[in-house]
Amino acid sequence: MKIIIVGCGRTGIYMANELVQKGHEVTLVDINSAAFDKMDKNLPVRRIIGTGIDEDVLIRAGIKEADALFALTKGDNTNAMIGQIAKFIYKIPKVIVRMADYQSKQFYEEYLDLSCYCPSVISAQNYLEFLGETQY
Amino acid sequence: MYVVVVGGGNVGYYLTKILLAEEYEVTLLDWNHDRVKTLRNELGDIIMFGNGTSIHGLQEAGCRRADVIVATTGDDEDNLAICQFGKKYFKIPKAIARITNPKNERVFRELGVGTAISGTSALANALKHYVARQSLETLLTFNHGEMVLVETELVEDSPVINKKVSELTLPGDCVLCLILRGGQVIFINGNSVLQPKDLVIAISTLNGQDTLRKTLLGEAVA
Repeated sequence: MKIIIVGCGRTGIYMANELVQKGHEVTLVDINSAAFDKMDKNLPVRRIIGTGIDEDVLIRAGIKEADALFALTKGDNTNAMIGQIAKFIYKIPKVIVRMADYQSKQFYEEYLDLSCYCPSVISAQNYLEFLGETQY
Repeated sequence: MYVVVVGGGNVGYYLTKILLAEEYEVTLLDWNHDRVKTLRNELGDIIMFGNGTSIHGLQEAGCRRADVIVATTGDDEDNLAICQFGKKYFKIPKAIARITNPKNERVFRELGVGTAISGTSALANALKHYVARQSLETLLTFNHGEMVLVETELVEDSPVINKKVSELTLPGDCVLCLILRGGQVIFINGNSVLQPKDLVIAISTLNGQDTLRKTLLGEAVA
């Protein structure tokens, strides 16, 4: 699969490694070239420096041929815009965006049909499960 | 008419003042405490502290009863979110977004925000308009450089359009020769009527070019 990851932080780098191992073609986009310094230089991924909300950058990243796109930047609104461009304008089959704010996640999923992932809620749920399993 | 303006920067601020002068009911929302304090000094309670890119913030600003929401922040992605929250969640009938990347006008429209306005486009058009008036393109010179064959495209508000050439006051040291219009070649005579976008071929003395340019293209506003 051809996969685009916008926002090359810890999560993006981890995913890139996994996806490359499974034989997928990965393109990473980040507005900051320093982000790419945090990863293995030899990892066979395409690195594009630029902002994901600019269509020209997305086109350079191969959005026209992509099968999936992940928007993982620090900004909820940025991720929402990237995700919508990918899903509704370029019709990418699998699009999911990181949404730190839970209320926003609910809004985008219900009103705009955009899949969102809310890290804080998932983390909290995991932590609570851990508490549940502990005898105390 | 109740308008919620999100973004208390220069654009939001001056827009709010215009709206107040026209007697609209306005709330201006900003998420910087200092900025809110400064604006409140001048404009009072219509300035609200809050996050316009959150449902909660917009709710506090009274979006439920707003007629129009205007997103004026400097970031296109934030303005998109503001307008989408406004339209879809609060059912505000009209959303207007400021954009800085002119290409986003199309993107916003496809994502349901039909009115997206960029100052960048307005500036670019002003530039194009000015540049268009600067140019008589020299095709060739003859008579030892004293004479020039020139070409220019007429602009929308050129002083010579929609009049018969015989009615125009042309400089004495030039002659209008041809019009290239939509792939056609038209030899100019007294009855010819010049139109915007016509490519005019003319002959002028070297020194007479400037006057010819002003005659055909008008005076550019500095």
